Amino acid sequence: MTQQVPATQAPRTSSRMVAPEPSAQLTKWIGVATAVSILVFIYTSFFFAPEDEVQGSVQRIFYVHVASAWIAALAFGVVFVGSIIYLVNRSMKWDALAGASAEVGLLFTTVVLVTGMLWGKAVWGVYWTWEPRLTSVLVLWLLYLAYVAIRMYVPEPTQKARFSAVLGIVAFLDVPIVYLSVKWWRTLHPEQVIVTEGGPQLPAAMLVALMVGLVAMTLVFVYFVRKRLAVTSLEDQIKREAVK
Amino acid sequence: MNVVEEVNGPLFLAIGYGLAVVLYGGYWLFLNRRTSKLRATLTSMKAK
Amino acid sequence: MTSSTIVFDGVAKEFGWVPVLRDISLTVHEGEYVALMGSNGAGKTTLLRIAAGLAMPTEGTVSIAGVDMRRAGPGLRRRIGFVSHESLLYPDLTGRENLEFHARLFGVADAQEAIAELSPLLDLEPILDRKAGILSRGNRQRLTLARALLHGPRIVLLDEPFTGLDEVSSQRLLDILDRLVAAGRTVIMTTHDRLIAESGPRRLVVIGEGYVAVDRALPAADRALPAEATTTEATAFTRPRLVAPPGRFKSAWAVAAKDLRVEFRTRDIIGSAGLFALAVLITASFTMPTGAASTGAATGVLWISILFAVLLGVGRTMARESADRGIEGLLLSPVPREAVFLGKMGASLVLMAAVDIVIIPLFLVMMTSDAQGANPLALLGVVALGTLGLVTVASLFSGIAVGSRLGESMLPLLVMPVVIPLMVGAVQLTGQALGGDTATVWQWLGILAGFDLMVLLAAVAMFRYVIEE
Repeated sequence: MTQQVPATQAPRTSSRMVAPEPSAQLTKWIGVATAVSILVFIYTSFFFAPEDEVQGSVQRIFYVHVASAWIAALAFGVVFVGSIIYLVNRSMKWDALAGASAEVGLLFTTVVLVTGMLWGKAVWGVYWTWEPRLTSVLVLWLLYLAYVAIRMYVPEPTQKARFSAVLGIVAFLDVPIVYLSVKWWRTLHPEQVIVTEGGPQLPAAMLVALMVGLVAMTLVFVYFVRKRLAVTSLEDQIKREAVK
Repeated sequence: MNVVEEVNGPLFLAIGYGLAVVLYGGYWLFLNRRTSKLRATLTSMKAK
Repeated sequence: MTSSTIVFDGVAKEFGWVPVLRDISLTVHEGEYVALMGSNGAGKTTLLRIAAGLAMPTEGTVSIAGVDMRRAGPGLRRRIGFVSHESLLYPDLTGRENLEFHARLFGVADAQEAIAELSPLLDLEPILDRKAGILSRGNRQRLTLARALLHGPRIVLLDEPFTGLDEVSSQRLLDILDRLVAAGRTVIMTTHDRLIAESGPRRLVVIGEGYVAVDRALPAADRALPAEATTTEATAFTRPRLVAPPGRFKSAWAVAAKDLRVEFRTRDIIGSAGLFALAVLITASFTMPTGAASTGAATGVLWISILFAVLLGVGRTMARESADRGIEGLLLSPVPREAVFLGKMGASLVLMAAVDIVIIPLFLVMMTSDAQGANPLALLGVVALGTLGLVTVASLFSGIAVGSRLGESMLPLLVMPVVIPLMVGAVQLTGQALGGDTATVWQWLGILAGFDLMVLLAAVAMFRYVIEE
């Protein structure tokens, strides 16, 4: 077998390695919609919704707190799905999505914790108590932190993607278990229950404010994730340019 | 609901929303800054 | 398509964004003797690792006997023998123990006989009973070669095997490679020495800029051919010697046994993990009044000390596979990935059980005012199930931690949030067991067992992604 293969061949660049950049134009429009929805949300939560008789005006934190909590959970779900899809087809764009969603999710979870603690202090008199929902949110925050830390400390992209995916899947399965376990644990120790779970049915106006909050926060989530993906894509493109 | 000690409700409300604005807004600013810096770097690299 | 044809089709490999291989397409037929050359960093090692199944191409496929290496089964892995830069040997085991271990993993019918056959060819006699860690470069190379050939592979891949070998050893290695080819084996070796490349191989492939730059036949080597092979030598390479590879659990057992044997010799892990747990316990008992043991604080301290002992111990167990890349020896073998996980986990479990046996009585003595009314069976159950769950999660994540820049220090951050349900339950149940509260204890132990089972299944399923490359 005598063959001289010419050294110059059509270069093959692996496009799978570079996360695609979301359309900046569309992102801008989403940003506008987000800004509008935030304004509407501020109006409904401060002026449209009635003031709570018992808690007073501080109750209004509830809207941004709960809306952010839902989105934090949604973000986690996106991380979960993105992780699974990545492990199946190894396309970096799903890893990028999971990574962006986790970072934004960490942000939302931080807001949930902070607003929750302030509300707790105002309403229950304590900044913190180890009840199921709060504990689960804290664990969620720690898991997001671990996920983001892994992405920081594993430089090689394929390895980073794999490790993140495994963590993303295990963490998602863990959170409901945390919630249930703390809940069951507390039924064994019926201490002075400071927190009443659930509560009276929300009057319609408050429900409206909450719904508006959900829409607004969802838009914020989508907007931030798109912008974060753009950052990842640019970073990838720069690294590619550096090596050409 | 038991309010153990009176706190300044409106103050806490303001702090709460204020922190939310700071956190979300701060992240937005961070993303913007980072994006424009990266775009600048990329264009200058491509120009070479 | 014979049973050992290797086909590289459009193989590309990037590390980060650095392309090492851009487009490699070539076919190596059964029985070929190929020299793979290229300058440093050209991708020779990478290509060989991809062929061995230790690395996955970023693009393209590599198949052996028509089977994509991504889906390589045990049978395919057994056809390959890989000699890499690292020895893939365990430094605390002797040469013989290392070879026996690999023989077990590969399903070699009679390890002693196989070793005895290879011994004269590779002059293994003087090094078999010495620890692999103290061998000289040349000796380690011979042992590495023995490991790669022990299971009679049809394809032998060698990565710069002549580096560091003296003249005599080099000649001997060339002889062995000639004999392998004469026995019908496929041999691919990388080298950057032109002389070596022309001392036996019949085909030269040069990689440059990530492509195949040269691919031509080589004239017959101008060196003395090896003397007529003796019968033993002939059979050493041609006699089939494999039985069915060990199943999942037997392999896991072999891996665990290997780890325990190493631990028995070095006593690293038990020492550090045990002492750490002890330190936590003693420090805490100074600072806390001895009250009824069912106060969460005391049982909390107990489980914190167990948790940190597990983090330390399991982290070290996994880190041991990084020395000399022992983990790759496991990946090359036909052993299923789940078995590797179960084996590592099993060894850690045994070690942690030993730590528990020391810690629990000390805890009872130091931190409980009276252990009367305690339910010993329930206590045993909690400790066992709690430790099992912790070891499972830690074993899964230790693979990730060890692969990160922070190494084992990353392990607490990964493990702690995930095991919170376990810790909560364990602390709770320990308190109940000590207080003799048997009403709900067994029900809760069941729930703990359920958690352990779920975590175990998830870990076994996910571990393959952790050790993939």
